[in-house]
This record gives sequence, structure tokens and C-alpha cells, in this order.
Amino acid sequence: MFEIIEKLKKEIAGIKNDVEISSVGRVIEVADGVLKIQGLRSAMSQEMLTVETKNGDVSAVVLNLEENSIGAIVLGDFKKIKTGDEVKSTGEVLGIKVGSELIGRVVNPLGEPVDGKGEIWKSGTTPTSYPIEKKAPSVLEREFVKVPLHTGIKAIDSMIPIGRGQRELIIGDRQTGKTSIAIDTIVNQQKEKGQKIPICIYVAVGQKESNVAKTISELESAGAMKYTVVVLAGASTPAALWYLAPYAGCAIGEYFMDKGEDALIIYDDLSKHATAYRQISLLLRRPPGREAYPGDIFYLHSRLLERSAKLSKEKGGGSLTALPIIETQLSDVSAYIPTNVISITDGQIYLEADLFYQGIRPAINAGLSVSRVGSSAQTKAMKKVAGKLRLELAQFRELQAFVQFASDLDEGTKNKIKRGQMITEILKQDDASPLPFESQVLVFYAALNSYFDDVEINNLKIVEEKYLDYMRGRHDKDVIEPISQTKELQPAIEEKLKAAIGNFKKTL
Amino acid sequence: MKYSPLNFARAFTDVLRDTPKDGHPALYKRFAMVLENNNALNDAPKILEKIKKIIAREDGISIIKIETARELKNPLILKIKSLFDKASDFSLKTNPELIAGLKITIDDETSIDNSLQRKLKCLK
Repeated sequence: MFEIIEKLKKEIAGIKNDVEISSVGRVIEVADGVLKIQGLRSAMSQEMLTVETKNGDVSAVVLNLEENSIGAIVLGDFKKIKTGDEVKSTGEVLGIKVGSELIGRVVNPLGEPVDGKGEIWKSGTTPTSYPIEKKAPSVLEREFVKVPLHTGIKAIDSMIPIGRGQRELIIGDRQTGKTSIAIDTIVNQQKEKGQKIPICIYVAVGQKESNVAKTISELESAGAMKYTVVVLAGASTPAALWYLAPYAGCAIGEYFMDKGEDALIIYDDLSKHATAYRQISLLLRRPPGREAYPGDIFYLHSRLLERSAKLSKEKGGGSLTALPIIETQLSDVSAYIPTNVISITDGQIYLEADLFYQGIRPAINAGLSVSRVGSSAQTKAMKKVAGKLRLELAQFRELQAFVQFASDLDEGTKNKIKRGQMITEILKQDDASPLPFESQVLVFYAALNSYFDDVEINNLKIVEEKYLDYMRGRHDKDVIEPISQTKELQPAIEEKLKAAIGNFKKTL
Repeated sequence: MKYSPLNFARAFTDVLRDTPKDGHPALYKRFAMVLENNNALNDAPKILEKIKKIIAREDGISIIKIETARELKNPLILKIKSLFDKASDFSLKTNPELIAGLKITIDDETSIDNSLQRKLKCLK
């Protein structure tokens, strides 16, 4: 009783008896999540507005500043709004509350929790707010990308290495394993020794909520939610939230980057993001261009992806690595949105449905995939063992048509074909089984130095597993740890490794 | 082609400016016929409001809407009106949802809100 009275007394004392003078506007049109507002002459672009309806206040954000009206998108239930409702400006540009309290949580693009675990921010605290739209770091604020970000996927870490601060596109048809690569990358971060785990942000744009629930469950079982934030704009949410989700995730990533930490952000996927922006632009009566996309569709993604960078030491040395995902239709990488994003990013990982159905998983087409950062983002150990991998695979691809005539070919060609088949088999990897880079070095060293040449292709996978178990059980301290710590394959360690492989082969 | 209420209002005010005062009654009839021909009679209230705003802006007159929680007596109304330019266009409305106090909107752009409804909302 006493507490209730004290609470009421505080509330009464807190009543402000002053007059409020504010700029107001009026809703003149409302449909499909888009408002047309008259008034508010001093409204800013991206400014937050509050629409006062009979059923409570609804937020909106200004997107169009026209001569006689303002176009805004509703960030809530637009059905509560009717024409004639009063609109007030907040004077604030759209922002999201950021902080380490977000780690382990699932939020919507407005920063509100959607995981049922209660409030994120403790009452009485004022968390930092980062703007959703922010200028990218300038040239002078950046540094070269040279620290690797290991995905745990052999095909990527050996031939398409990604560095911290890079933007690497994952592109392919539906159901080719794009999200799996992204999730394996997140899970693998905890297996990196000697470096702080980067904060991972998974932005789900327009995904089925059942799929997102499954992804979150996988991350939780792998213990990855300890360093992951999920930003969710599910399939049933308005297009306005799909549009804002990648920027909200980027703002969260920038918070950690500005603190000098490393962060990884996955945009799954930007094709749906482009579709949502097209929908909003058409409703705002912006002139449609090619494929009905608005004229600034390139800028939509370029300004988002440019915010991922490796900052210089003067700026804290933090990084934000981006893995945007694009879904193609019938493998058409020359379509409008895929070509736009390919030209923005620092490389692409191209997944082919044909390879997937042939059983090559991950279904990465090494020929069309590239990392423009290249071996600058590779450890010396990996460079040493996997340096010639791409070339050998390219030679195999040239000769692949002759595989069926293997008995009629010369020895050199037969060997190249056999080697290519062996490499292809070695690069296969199960879903949700990321391999730390030191284990990958061991596998590539053995395979590419012909130690597995006498192993049947069908048995390679089992031999690889036994080999890794053998090395972890007997040579963890003298071979694996030195590689993991120094990131190099020093001559002394190499000798020990050769001896260990020899001993292992005797056990087969 | 469907024209917006603003287009009708602008066209009318332009013609009104160029028409001498004795021609105004005929102008109003012709304008009504134009609205009928363009199936815009349903939008007439909106068009009239736009015309009022355009004329008020051109003549430097403010449109002042006063909303009160209960009906006010004349002396109080005159006291409120005295705070503004005499040439302003005033309209009064009773809105019990304000609970107490009043809310004044100037030209649909600026709001002076001294209602209890707003103060209670701030408490939340």
C-alpha cells in the first residue's frame, strides 16, 4: 500500500504542467502501410513521426518530402490510422538502441525484443542510440583487410578466403545451402583460438518464421547465441520493417566496430530487401525504373555494404565483415539485383544447384567464385598448403569431360583426373560441421602432398575423419597447437606432421 | 482524368483573383458545374477547405481551430481570440476527450496543447 502511494506521489510530482507547442500535420491518405501527411513543413528525411490515433500512438518514418505533402511509412499497425489523424514530429532521426545487452537476443528492426525473454534494457538506464542510416567510414579511416575470418568450410577458407572487414556475397538459387554457409561461419567463430570471438549479427529479412526459429535453435545448440544477435523482420511483418532490418543490423554491428571489436553481419537475404523497397517506392509513387525497381536501388545496397569496413588503428581497429546473401532465379547471375550487389562486394561465393544435386556439398563453383582480398586474408599455413588447390581444380574441370574415357588416356592426364576427383571429394563437407583452420591445414597437407593417393575415392571421407581423430588424439600439443598459435607451418612442425601421417597410414 | 481537390482549389482561386466582384456569383455557378462534369461533387467539402486555406495564406490570415473539453462562455472565447490577430479565421469545437483544458491549432501546422489528455499521456 505504502509503495503504491509513493509511486503515485512520484507520478503526481512528475506531471509537467507546461503547455506544449509543436509542429503538427494531418493524415490525408493512408493505404498499405504508407501515409500521405499534410503539414510538418520542417520535417527531416528519415525523421520519426508519431501518429495519434484513437487506439494509441503509431510510429512512422518520413521517406518522401514533396512540395505539398510528406510520404511516410508506418512502423506498426497501419489499420489503426485514419485520415484526419494528427501527426507530430519527434525531431529525431530513426535510430536503434545498441549495447552489449543485445547479445543473445532476438529483436525486431526497431530494437524491440521478440524472443519473449523480457526487456533488454534495465529500467533507469539510457542506452546509446545509433542512427539507422549513417555515413560509411571514409578512405582515411580504413585499413587493409589482412586478418582472416575463417568460415570453417574447407572450400571457402582454402580458395575464397574472407578477411575481417571484407564484404563477400553468397549467391545461388533457392535451397543450395546459402544460409547453411552463413550459419556455419557463425558457429565456427568460437573455434578460433588466440583471437576474440567476433560479435555475429544475423539479419533475417522476409524469412519464414519457422525457418528463423530453426536457425536460432541451431545456433543455441552450438553455443553460438552467446555472441550472436538476431534481427528479425519475418515474412508476416510489414514491408517497412523488411526495408529497415539490414540497416538496423548494420547499426548494431557499427556499435561494436566503433568499440574496437570485430563483428560479422549476415544479411539473409538482400533480394527480399530489394523487393520490399520496390513495394514501398511504388506505394510512395516514386517513378519505377528497370523491373519496376526505383532508380536508387543500387544506392540502397551500396550505402549499406559500404558501412562494413576494417577501421584503422587510430579509429580503434575494429571491423565489420558482411556476408550478404542474394537468391538468384534459375542461376541467372546476370539479373539486375545480383549484378548490382556483385559489383559492390569484394567477391562472391557462387552456389550451383547442379553441383548440389550431384552430391557436391557445399555446392560451391570454385571457378565462378572469387575473393578480391585473396591470400592477404589467409594464414601462412593455409597459403602454403592450399596455394595450388585452385589451379589443380581448374585443370580438373578442363579435363572433366574425359572422365568417362579414363582408360584411353595417357598417364599424366589420368593422374590429373584422379587428383581432381580426390580434391573434389576432400572439399565436400557435411552441413553444420565447420572445421577449424588448423584441422583444414592438416587435411590439405596430407591430400595435396599425395599421402591419400592410394585411398579409394569412396573411402576418403572416412579416412579423413580417422586421420583428424588420430592427429587430435596423439599430436594435439606438438603439431596442432603450434599451427593454431603461430598460424604458420614451420619446417620443424612440418617434419613432425610428415612423420605423424606416415604412422597414421600404417594404422589403415 | 481525376483531378485532386488541391488542383480544383488552385484553379478556382486563380480565376477568382482575375474575376471582378460582380462576376463572383456567376463564377461560383460555373465552378459547381465544372465539379459536376468532373464527378468531383463528393470532394466538394475537401475542395472548399483547400480554397479557404489558399485564400487565407494569400491574404495573410491565420486559420485558428480552438478545441475545448467543454463549451466555453462568450467572455472566455473573446479572451482567447484576443491573443491572436483580429483578422484570423476562428472555429470552435468541443471535444470531451481532452478531459480539461484546450488545444489550439494554427493553420493546421502548429499546435498549442494545454489539455489534460496530453499531460496524462506524458505520464505513461
